[in-house]
Amino acid sequence: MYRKFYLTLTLISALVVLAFALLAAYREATPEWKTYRSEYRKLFIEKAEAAGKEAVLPDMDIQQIYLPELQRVDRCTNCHAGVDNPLMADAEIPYRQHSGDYLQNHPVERFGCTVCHQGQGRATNKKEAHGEGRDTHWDYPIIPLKYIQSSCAVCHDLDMLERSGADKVAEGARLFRQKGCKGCHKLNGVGGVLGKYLDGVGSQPIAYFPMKYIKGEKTVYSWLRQHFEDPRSIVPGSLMKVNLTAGEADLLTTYMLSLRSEEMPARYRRIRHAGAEETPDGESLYRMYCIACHTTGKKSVYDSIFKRTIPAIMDPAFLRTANDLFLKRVIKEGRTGTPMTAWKAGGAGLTDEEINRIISYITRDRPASAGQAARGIITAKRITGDIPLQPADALWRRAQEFTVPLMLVGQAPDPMDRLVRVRALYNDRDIAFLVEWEDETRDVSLGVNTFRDGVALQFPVQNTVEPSFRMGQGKGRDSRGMVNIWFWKADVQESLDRGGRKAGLSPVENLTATGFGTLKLKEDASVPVYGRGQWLNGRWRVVFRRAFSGHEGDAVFTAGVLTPVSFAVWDGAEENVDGKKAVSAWYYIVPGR
Amino acid sequence: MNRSGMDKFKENLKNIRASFAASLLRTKRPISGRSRAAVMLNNFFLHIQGVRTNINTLRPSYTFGLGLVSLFLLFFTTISGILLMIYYSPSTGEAYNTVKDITYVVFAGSLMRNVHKWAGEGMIIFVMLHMARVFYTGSYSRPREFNWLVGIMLLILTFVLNLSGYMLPWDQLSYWALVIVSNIIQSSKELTDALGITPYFDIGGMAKEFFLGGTVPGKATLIRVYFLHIMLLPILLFIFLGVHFWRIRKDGGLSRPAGSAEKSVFSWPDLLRAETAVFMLCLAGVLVYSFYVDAPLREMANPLIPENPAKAPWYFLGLQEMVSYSAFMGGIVAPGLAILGLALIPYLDREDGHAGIWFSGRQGKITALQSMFAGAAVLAGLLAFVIRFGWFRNWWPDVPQILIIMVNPAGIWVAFVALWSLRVIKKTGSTRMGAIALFTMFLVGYVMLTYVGTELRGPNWEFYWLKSQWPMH
Repeated sequence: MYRKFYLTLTLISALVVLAFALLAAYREATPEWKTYRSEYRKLFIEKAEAAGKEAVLPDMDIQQIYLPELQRVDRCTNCHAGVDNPLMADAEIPYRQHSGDYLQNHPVERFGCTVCHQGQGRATNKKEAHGEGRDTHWDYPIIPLKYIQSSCAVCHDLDMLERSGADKVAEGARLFRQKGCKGCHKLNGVGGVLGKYLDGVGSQPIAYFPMKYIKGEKTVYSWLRQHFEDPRSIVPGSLMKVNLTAGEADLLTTYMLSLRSEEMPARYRRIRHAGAEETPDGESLYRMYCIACHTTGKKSVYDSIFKRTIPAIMDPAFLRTANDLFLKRVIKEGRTGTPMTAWKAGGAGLTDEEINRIISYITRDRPASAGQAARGIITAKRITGDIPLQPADALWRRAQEFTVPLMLVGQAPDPMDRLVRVRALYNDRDIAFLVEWEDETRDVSLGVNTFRDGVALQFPVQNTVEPSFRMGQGKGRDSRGMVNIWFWKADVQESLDRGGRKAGLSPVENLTATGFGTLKLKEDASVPVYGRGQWLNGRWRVVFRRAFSGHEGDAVFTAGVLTPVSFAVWDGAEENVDGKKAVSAWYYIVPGR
Repeated sequence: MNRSGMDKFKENLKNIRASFAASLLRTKRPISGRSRAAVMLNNFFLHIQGVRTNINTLRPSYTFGLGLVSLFLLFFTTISGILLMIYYSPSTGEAYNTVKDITYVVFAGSLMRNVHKWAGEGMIIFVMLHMARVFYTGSYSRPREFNWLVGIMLLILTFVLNLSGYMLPWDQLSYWALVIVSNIIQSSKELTDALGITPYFDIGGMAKEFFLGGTVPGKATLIRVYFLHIMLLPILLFIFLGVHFWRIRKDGGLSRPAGSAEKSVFSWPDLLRAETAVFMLCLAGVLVYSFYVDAPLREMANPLIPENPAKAPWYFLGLQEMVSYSAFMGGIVAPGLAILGLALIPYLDREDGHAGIWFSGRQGKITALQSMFAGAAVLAGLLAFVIRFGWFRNWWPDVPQILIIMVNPAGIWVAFVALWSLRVIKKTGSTRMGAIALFTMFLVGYVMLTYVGTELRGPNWEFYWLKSQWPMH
């Protein structure tokens, strides 16, 4: 039945089977590498004859370098057959001998190829061995020669590389330290948190890198270089700051590629440090961690990427009032609501010693007049009996006097050293401050063209991490950045003095704020702040007194515990009003035991 | 020297071909009726077939050789699989490398892998086509009901074998398919979650953990999938295959129209000739396809880089599409009902007399066409609606999940298929017509949903007409 049909079908199919079996056999018997190998053998014989030497030809079997310790199988030498043959020094690629004397120290039998050059060692055709193109589905394409030094740093230390020819990766590492990259990027456990971690970035698969905006070939190498050149064109909305000259992007790319997650076996590594590892000095640390945002630190600048002003932390006017304790606390804890990172050991990972070095570097230009206040702590004296509201009371002499230097804001710098002198007392019921400052004029009226004198004390409501000393920060009812402000006004004092003392009235307003323009009277004013100011012989003396324990939203005091406090003074004669004033950074009041 | 001994030796040498043939066939040359019968009966490999074969069985347009094709594809996968097994190592560290070595340095290794892959996936297509042939020629009817069930079992085993093989290269495709499949296995969790009883009775989670040997794919998963792929599933497959063939004989050979001429020919050589032709054709097809198309191999499995979209292998993408509406409905109820519906067909349609005739005649052809168009239109409309307007969760974000489990496109499709089939039974007064409607719509559903899941779903399971429109990472 259907004899002819089935026989024809069998015959045709059998012919197809035979044809394709032969085709497949031919294809299998003539892989790409064999062509290269026989070409190499021909070339070898030619060169050997020309040199009058005997050619020891490799056989035609497949070759591989099996490196169990490196977990690699490299079959590159099937095509790159002359890699360690001196006769092939001037042959064309792929037959040419390896350049330089690298193979003397890195014999190919021990190191293979991909440990330095990457690519897919197991593959036996050019495209897949080089791993070029997404369709090869290989994460580690062959490294372009201009970045090849990145591989040296996997086994060698940078000191050694700098001296022996791998200058690009060493230079990249130096740039990495000097451009402040670790201000945002963590590496080996130290660094900021705004950017990505850089550990192992050199061996991250291509899928980690968004390639949408990459021009030209879409490799990790191109990504890194183009991202260094213009981060926001590759990652829209990126906060990364770059300040590189031509060529530096390539150097940094080389260094990035050297940050691999795979650890070489000890037998392969050659890390020799000249001496014991030294802690970098303050300046180097500042460059490593701070410079990307704070730059020279001499001028405050509006940062268009962060959309905020970055303060001039090395401006002498600021340094006058910025005591070491304040700087240390800000550096350690960071500034919530700002890009400033918490740099403590448990955060961005700096040690106290390193932070101290950075502070001494920052404050090296602090004017000598800042004096003893540099420590930043104001101790309140504990007394028994009532605390006088009268500034002239002799009891105040029992408290130690502390000097707090101020900086001018909203006006041209003052050649005179502006400062306030502060004394603090407390007992079982109350805590009180006496603030004194020099002012030639007594300005007690507020009119169209006349301005009053005033003084304010400011405390964070939650004093774990202090907010901006310029009236706090925050949004809505979020009290984390809220400050409590006690504001004494000379004009109110004047009218009270003239109208005689009325019970319960105070020249001090109890306010809250979460930044400029948010100042308002405390809703819950059940714990009032009393005060009294006196002008005598070119000097204001103002006393503030409040019950020791406040209510919600009031400054909190605890014996033996630091409460941040800052001061602001308005001079009516200088047309001081609102933001135009002299202020201090955070100081710390501690009720003594 | 013993002269007669030498003569005997020479004579034996001369007759070696004939005596070997006689020992192999256990009979004389099959040229007479008697010896042709004997050769079939006396050979281990041939005796599973009858001595005589009905001429209808040999008619190419009746069977299209689909069952045989499935069998031969199974042979090819088995042989190539054994070769691959020599080089493959089922450990997460080595699996990928050994597959690379098979591709790059084993002689014809790449070809073997291609043959294994394409013959295996070809089985899915041909087993389903074979099932369609058996169905539309009414061959499941008495006394072949049970063999239909065995066939369904073989279909399921084919799916699971393919799936388990997909996992073994341990590349990105394997890993993320494993993640998807383990989530489909876990899909009853959606119901227990909706009922709030997951903390006490997490059957989905248990099933997933049992399959993965942990909570995420890893070492334990690979070794158990390997065991399934090379041991348990093939053993089951061959057992069921034996039963399948044995039942064909016991049920009287292949079906044929009742009252057709009971004309038969000797199996040797007519049947064997046909089988050889199919074998050669099959081998040629697999060889040519495998010569030109390489089995895919992506980057090594990396749990930190999700493929987007992460897809199951293509033959499960219809399922994944339904799971995207509701895990419980798409992953458990719909496939469960499909298998149950298929299995029950021969018991709910007891009409005899149609066997051996394609579509049981004109009415069947019309019913099949109507069901195909109606099913395709309704399903396309349903899919278009979901893609364009979304479903409950898009309209009312707080809608209880149990409502989505009960009312979702997959459920509506299943309900439509059931109602349509019942309506056909009522209208035509024939259970066979109902069965044709049901089966046609099962095929339409499988093909269309698989197409949508494979070609039209991109990253985040969003709809795209073309892969080139996928947003680039």
